[in-house]
Formats: sequence, structure tokens, C-alpha cells
Amino acid sequence: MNMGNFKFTLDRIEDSTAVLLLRDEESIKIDVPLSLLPQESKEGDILDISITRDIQETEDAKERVSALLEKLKNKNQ
Amino acid sequence: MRWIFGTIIIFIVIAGTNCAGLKDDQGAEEFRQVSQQAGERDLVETHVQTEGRETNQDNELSESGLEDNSYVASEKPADENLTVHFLDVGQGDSILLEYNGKAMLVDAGERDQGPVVSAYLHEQGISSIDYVVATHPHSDHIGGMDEVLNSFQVGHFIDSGFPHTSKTYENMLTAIDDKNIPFEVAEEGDKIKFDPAVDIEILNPGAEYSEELNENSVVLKVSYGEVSFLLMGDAGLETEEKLMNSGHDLDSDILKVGHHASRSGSGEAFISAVSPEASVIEVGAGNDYGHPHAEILERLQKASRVYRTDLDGSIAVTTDGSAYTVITQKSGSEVENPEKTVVEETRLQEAGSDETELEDPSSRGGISSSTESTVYVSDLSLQDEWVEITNRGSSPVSLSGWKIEDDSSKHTYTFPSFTLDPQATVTLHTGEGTDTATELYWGSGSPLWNNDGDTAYLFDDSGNLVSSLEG
Repeated sequence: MNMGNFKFTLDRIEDSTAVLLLRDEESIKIDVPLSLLPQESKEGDILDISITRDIQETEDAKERVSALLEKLKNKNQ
Repeated sequence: MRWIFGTIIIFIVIAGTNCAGLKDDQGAEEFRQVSQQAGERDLVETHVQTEGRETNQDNELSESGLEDNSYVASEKPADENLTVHFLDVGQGDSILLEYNGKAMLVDAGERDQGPVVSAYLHEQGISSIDYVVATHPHSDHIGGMDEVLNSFQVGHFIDSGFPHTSKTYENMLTAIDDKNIPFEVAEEGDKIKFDPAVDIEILNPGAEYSEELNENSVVLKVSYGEVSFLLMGDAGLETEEKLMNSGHDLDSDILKVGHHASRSGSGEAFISAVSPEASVIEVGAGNDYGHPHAEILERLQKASRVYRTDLDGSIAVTTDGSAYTVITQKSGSEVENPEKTVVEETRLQEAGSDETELEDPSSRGGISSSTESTVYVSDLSLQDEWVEITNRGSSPVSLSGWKIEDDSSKHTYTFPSFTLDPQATVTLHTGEGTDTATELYWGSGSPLWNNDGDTAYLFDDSGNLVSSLEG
């Protein structure tokens, strides 16, 4: 299995929730709002899901929040 | 704790007395009267007949499990009880039928419930299963099959025959193949040759499959003497409609509610047709899918006594062919073995509170059931934000107080004073406008139908789900 790259079976759709089973280990089951899946997704589809760490975005968010914290700490002094 | 067990013993004694009472003349006489009142076929005498065990399990296993409808189950129940267990497997289904030393399993819950199913069967002293039925291939029904196939000798495997791409399904088929288990596909009209005294008829799937796995669920009608069970798998409104038009006798004492009592099924007309005394919902506590749906639960509660595996734990219904007893394993009572279960209720088929309940016009009014068949959601456009309601009947129907709801239940439209003429269609638009005889306006400033998929639900003025359509 590629790191961060997974195949899931769309086992079923319960109302607006899609139930996905990890193909390599189908005891791993995740619920995903149907709206997050590609349009036309249907039961029985095999989905390719990639997960990567976005280091840049993480750093940016940390910086923004830290700056905001500093600003608030100084504001009430 | 001691007090609870004291109570249990008393309940069991009462239940025992009642069951025994049915066997005496007075009980039989009472039952005969009810039976005749209800216009049912007269099988009263049959439970008096006693038959010795004459089963040959080895023979049974080597024969074909399914037969066409020329196979007629004996109308003479042996001196045996049929027990149908609805196992608590969290969010999923698993049902065990036990009769005359034989066992049949319908579904096996999610994969992590396989050991639970296996342990339950072992507790009942079961080491081989005559028939295993997979109602349909969703993981909450077949996940535990792997464990079951590896732990028990299985005589026959019966499947819906409609393929699914999951590894769970593929692995199940591979295991059946490797073990050379006789495999058959269920078809409407066939009977499962479980035991001559127990009639098990397959009502679904029919010759043509639906596109939906749920709607291809194997639906079973199990009859033992005068007591019948309808096991719906995850079948919904589409199958219910088909069954009602098929001429099958749907009337059943105990209903295993379809699809965990979601609102994809258990339509008002169908529940009226089945008219269950007891409804069993197999559902997991705090599940993510909103099962059971409040609307459906209310409908079932009006029609019957409702049992739920999330609240009651495993539920066992035992019948001698004329009366039945429901035993529930109460949640939180730390039941270690089947002896420590609580007798919830003994229900005899006699005129009682049930009859009154059935005749209560608010629970099964002739008006709502007659309109149900004529007014339905005929079209839904998620993009253009409108839904069409059509009256295909021959008389006008007042929609005043009826409601339209979306999937999220966040948006509800209540019809104003409005009458839909025969063969007429009215379009309900999301936005604002002036109502006419053919166009109604919700008056919403923003779109409310989810373009990624949504369903329009139509409820009548009593809150009964009349129709739904997926867009």
C-alpha cells in the first residue's frame, strides 16, 4: 500500500452518509458525508483516496494563529 | 440485583402458566373463538397433534435447499417450539431460527460482530447451521459471515445473487467456494426446506432485480402453525409496493422491520397490510444514520408493540405455533448466560388490548390509507428547486396540513388549504411567488434541495409518510 494512498469500497449510502470500507482491511470503516464525494458516486464504487500532509498550509496556519494570540495578549494590557 | 432476579422468576412462572394454559381445553376454546372472529383458516386443532422427531440431518444437508412452491410445509407443528432470536449486533442484522435441533442464520452483522454471533450460537449449543442466508451484501449484514463460515459447519448458503464489489462480499463468496458449501440464489416463490413443520417462503428478490442492493434483500415469510414472522432485511418502499401488488399474504404477527426503521421503508400502507402485533428493530445505539427514524418509530408504535435491540438487547421470540413469548436481554443487566434473561411479555392470540389498538381509527384510518395510494411525489428537481406532487386517483384529495420534507429534515413545507384534483399535478417551488391551482411556493430565500443528492418526503396531515422520491 502506498503511504497515504488508499482504496475504499463505497459499501452503502445511508441517507446522506456514505459508508466506506478500506479495501485492504475492511474492518476499517469510515462515514463520509455524501456531499464530499465526487458527484454521481454510487454504491459499489471503488474510491481512490490520497492523504498528504500539507506542510506549507500547516505552517501558515500556525503563524497566523500565533500572531493573533500575540495581538490579543497585548491588546488588554 | 437480588430483587430483579426475584422478579424474573415470578415472570417466568407466569409465562409458563400462560403457555401451559393454552394447551388445555379452555385456552384452545378461547383461541378458536378469536380465530373464527378474525376469519382465519381453522388450524386450531393442529397444535394438539404431536409428532416424533424423524429428521435426518445428514440427508437434509446433501439435498437441494430450495424448492419451488410445490413444496408444502406440513400444517401440523410437531411438539416443538420455534425460536427466532434477533441478535443484538449493534448497527446491523443477525437473526437465528432454531427448531427441532436445526438452526438457520439470517445475516451476521458487521465484521467486528462475527465473534458475538458465533458466541451466541455456541451458547445455544449450536455447532452446525443448516441454512445461512445473506439478505444482501452490505457489511452490516454480511461482515460477520467470515467468522460464521469458519466456526460452523454450514449446510446451505442462500444469497440474494445481486453482486457487490466489496472485499467483504468477495471474501465471503471465496470462503463458500473453498468450503464447497452448496450455494443457491433466492428467488420469489421458492421455499427454504428448513423443516417440514416450518414454512419459509421467499418473497423477494423477484425475477428482475432492482438497482438498489437494499431492495434486492432476501425477504422471508416464516410461518409455524398460526404464528408468522416477516423478515424484511433492508428492503424499503420499492419492495413493499411490489409485495403489496404481488398477492402474497403479508399479514404477520412479528415483523422484523426493514432497514433498521429508516424512512426508506415501512410505509403506512405496508404496515397496515402486515398489521404486526410485534415489531422488532435491529439497530445500534447512537448510530450515525438516525435509525430508527422518529416518524417510522411512531407509526410502528401505533400499530404494534416495538422491540429494539439498542434498548432491549437480543430479543428471542418462542412459539408453539399458537402463542408466542418474547424474551429480551435487558441492556445493562450484565447477562452472562441465557438463563438470566427477563421474560418481557407473554402474548396470547386472544381478544384483548390489541384488538382495540387495531381498530383505533387514528392508528390505521381508512382515509389516510386510501389517499396514500393515489397521491405521491412524482418528480423532484434538485437543480431547479421544485418538487411535483401528483394525484393519480379518481377523486380529489385535500392536502391541507400535509408536509414536504427534505433529507436533512431541516426544511419543512406545510401545505395551505389546498385540494389536488384527480389526475392533477401541483409543483412546489422553493422560492417566492403567488400560489395557484398548479403552482405552490415555499417562500424560501435560498435553495434548500441538496444538489449532491436529496429526497423529498411527503407526509399526510397525520404525519404518516405517504411517498418519497430521491432526486
